[in-house]
Amino acid sequence: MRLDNIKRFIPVFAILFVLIIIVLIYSIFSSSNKPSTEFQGEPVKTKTIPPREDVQKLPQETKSIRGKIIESQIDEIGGDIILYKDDSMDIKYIPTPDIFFVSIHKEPVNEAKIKAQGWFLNFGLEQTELCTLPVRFLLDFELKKTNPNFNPLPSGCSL
Amino acid sequence: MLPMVFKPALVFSRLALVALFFSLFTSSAHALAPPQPPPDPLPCQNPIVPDEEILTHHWMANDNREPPPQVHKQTITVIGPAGPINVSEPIEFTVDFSKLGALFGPTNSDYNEGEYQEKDHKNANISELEPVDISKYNGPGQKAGNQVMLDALRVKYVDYIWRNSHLPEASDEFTNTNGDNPRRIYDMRNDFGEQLPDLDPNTSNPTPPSYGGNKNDWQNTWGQYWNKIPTTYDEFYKAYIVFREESNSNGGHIDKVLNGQYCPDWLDEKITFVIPKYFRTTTTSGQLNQLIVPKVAQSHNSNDLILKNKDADFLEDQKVSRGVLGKIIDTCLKAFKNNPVSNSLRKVIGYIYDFLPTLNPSQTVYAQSNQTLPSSDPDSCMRILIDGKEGQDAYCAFNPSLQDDDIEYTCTNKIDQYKLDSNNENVICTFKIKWEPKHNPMTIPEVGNKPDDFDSCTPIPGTVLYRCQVEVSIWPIFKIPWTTEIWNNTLFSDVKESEPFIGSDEFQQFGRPGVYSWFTPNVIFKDEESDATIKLLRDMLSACDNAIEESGIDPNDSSALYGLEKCQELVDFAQDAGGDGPYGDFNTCLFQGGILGPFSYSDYVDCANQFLTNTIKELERKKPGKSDLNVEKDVNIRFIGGTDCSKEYVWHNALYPIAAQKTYGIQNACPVESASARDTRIPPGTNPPDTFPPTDDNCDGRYSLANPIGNFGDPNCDFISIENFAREVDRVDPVNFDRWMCLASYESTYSPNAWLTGDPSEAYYSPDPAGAWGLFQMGRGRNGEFDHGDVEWHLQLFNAVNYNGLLGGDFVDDSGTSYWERINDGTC
Repeated sequence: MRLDNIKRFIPVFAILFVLIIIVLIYSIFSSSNKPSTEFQGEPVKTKTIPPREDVQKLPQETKSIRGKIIESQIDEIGGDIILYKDDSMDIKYIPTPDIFFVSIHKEPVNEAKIKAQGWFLNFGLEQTELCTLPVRFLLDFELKKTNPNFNPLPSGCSL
Repeated sequence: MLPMVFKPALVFSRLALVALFFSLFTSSAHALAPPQPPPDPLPCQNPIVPDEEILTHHWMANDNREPPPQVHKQTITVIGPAGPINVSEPIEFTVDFSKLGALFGPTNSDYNEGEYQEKDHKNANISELEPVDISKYNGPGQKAGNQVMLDALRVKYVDYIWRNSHLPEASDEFTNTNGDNPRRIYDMRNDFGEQLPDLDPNTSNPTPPSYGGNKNDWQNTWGQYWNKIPTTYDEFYKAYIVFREESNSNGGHIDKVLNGQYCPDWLDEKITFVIPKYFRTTTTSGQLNQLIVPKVAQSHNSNDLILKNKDADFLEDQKVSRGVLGKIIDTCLKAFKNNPVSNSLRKVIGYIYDFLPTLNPSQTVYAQSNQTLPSSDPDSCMRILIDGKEGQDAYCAFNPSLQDDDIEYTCTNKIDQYKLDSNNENVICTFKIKWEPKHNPMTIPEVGNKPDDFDSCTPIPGTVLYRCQVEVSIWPIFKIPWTTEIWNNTLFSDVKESEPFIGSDEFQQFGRPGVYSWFTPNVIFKDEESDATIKLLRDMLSACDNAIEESGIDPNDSSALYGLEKCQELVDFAQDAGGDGPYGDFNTCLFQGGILGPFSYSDYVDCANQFLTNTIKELERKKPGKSDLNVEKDVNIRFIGGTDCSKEYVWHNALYPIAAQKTYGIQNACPVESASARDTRIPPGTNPPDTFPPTDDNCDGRYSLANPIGNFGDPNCDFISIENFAREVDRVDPVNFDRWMCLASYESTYSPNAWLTGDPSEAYYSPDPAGAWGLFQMGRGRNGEFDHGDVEWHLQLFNAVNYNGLLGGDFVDDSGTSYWERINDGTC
């Protein structure tokens, strides 16, 4: 190829190069903000504390997985069934409201939330099933002050 | 002859009264009434579903709050291995529906209306009656009301019966005044120009002469029958038998119920039955009040309930509205104690009790009972002490198709003249319900461990099994519509009087209502405008305000107020208002925290507004049919007009000579008595939980205690789990369980020591300058005694529930705004 021809294509290459860089930067930043369990579909309508009888309406398969999750109990404190615990969070099942709570104790709270959701999904649940299981997230009160917009619902759920 | 100047006033007053009558019925245009099929009575079918507001809960229990002995403290024995065990115990009982219909019935409504529903009455020849017999023929309503009023009611009656051909009375025939030519309403309409009467002489419809209709035309048609037309119709409503239970798990729960500390848990069982006559009784008593009680003394609200319950849209709203569902009357144990309604009903239920002897738990695989069959010793039964409500009245047999859930039953027939659905053979029915503990499965503990769910567990030698026992009590509850409303409208005595004069035991005709509103204590009808307490404070504020404006001083200059005579009066008044006087809360608001002043004018205004708001709410609550949440001795009551008290007030003050009043020490004040139940979650008479001062204990690091006063929310370190808290919420206010759990989740993330500053310079702060405290992030008294989150967690819950009770139990005030933002934004 002659040098003249190459020179002619330099602006095109430059534009392409810039575009590629922009796409790369965008994809890097957007993926870093996105939880790995980001839900892409229509959010599932639910309530913060759903009526207890709603659990009875869950599909049999979900109920079965639910039972397995509760059976994974590692401790019991005052009636709270402890299912998982580390420095940043604990996961527990509370029998009377029939609900799973994830209590988050440390920043970054969204990482803990993603991690907890992953813990549930490993039992074979779909992301949307966390809405009605139901799983809810609690921030320690001091964290609540610094994260006033924290969503206590799992990803993919809406009120 | 009245001077002309009075006539317009009379006309206006008459029109106002007539307008009031219309509120008894749903309005409908019938000038062009569409064709209707001939009457096809379907008694007891398609009953109206009452909204919870008109249902009164009548507990089957004695004055000690004990249920019938057959279901009180019965020991359930369970045998099984250690671990969870599902426990379910069948219980059978029998109800004779032919007796149930007599709880309330024609006794009252026929008395009020002069037996207009009776066949003989409809067929009587009244043209030849002597005046004294005419007087007997008419009931109190017909005697007391003038023709205009009665005509308005009868026009409505005819319209309603025409439109509701399924009602039994649609097929009833009336003879004319001579006792001839029997016709149904349907026939009258067809024979008299195919039009229904109305009150407008300018239409083509027939109009009673009292409203300007042609007298001759009228007398040749509807007028021949008109005086025999009743003033109100009968309707059929659903009523329910439900159950609450408590077991002694964790020790002493049943006794706590008997002490009024606990409200027992609901059993998931419901029997629906149909009652006739109640609506008619309610309307006739309400009419009677309106006919003969001066308008100023009438209840503004009592008949609103009737109106609401006849409106289909309203009923639909009831079904779907979370707010109304939240108002489910969570009656607790006040209902059967010391009030005329429940006393009389209890006696009637006691009558039924004879038919309720068989509670016979049978064995199941893992559960069995050592209960012996109960004795049938009548002395242990609740008995009817007076006559008047015994016997039978019109009733509907049990209708299986009305049940929400499958319920096991067997019925036998009974044939009598009172059964309205004569083809229905389900009259005496035995039901099988199921007792299950609230927290099922129960847990049988390993040997050596104390059982939580049972009173005792002992191992069975040679096996891996345990024999566990727990005491159970079950309270049957009859949810009956309209009883409160009826009692709002009527007086009825079932207690013996000690004084031998009018109204005494010898005088009172039991089972007949009087008219309470005649002499009802003034407090019931006080309103904002006329209340002296409100007026005095408003006048003082106004005088001070005017003085400030005239003098030109700065209203925020607290010491300057002392220089103004009118403001000085306000200052002195506030200082002297402490203690138990009517303005005690005003004083407390001003001097809270021990601050002695001086205060600015706006401080006085703020506290006065708070005081006045509460006072006005209090007044509104005291109207009949409303709940009074703040009566000290009976926290949970529905005000029904202080029936017995009102009666005594009449006798004592209207009929006693002054000298006798002095001799007997008779006061003019009538203490507010009440009956039935209110919409509350805290059991009536329950004392607040104990108070504990804050500590420095962080409960093994559980709390950061980042607040000004330390561990205020959990000083005993017994907030051990969310489950523990949830159970407490479920015990205290099960109806609103989801909402409280939701609020605590958002407000505090279930931390009883959660605290948010009220300092607006902080990035995240409470709108209350005193900060937000505890599980529900409440204040430190800014909005009254229950606005306190800065207390131990049991008391936090008690305060929150009571605060909601003050709002009417619906989490929002009259303007629809909630104290909690998460209610306002729909999150909870």
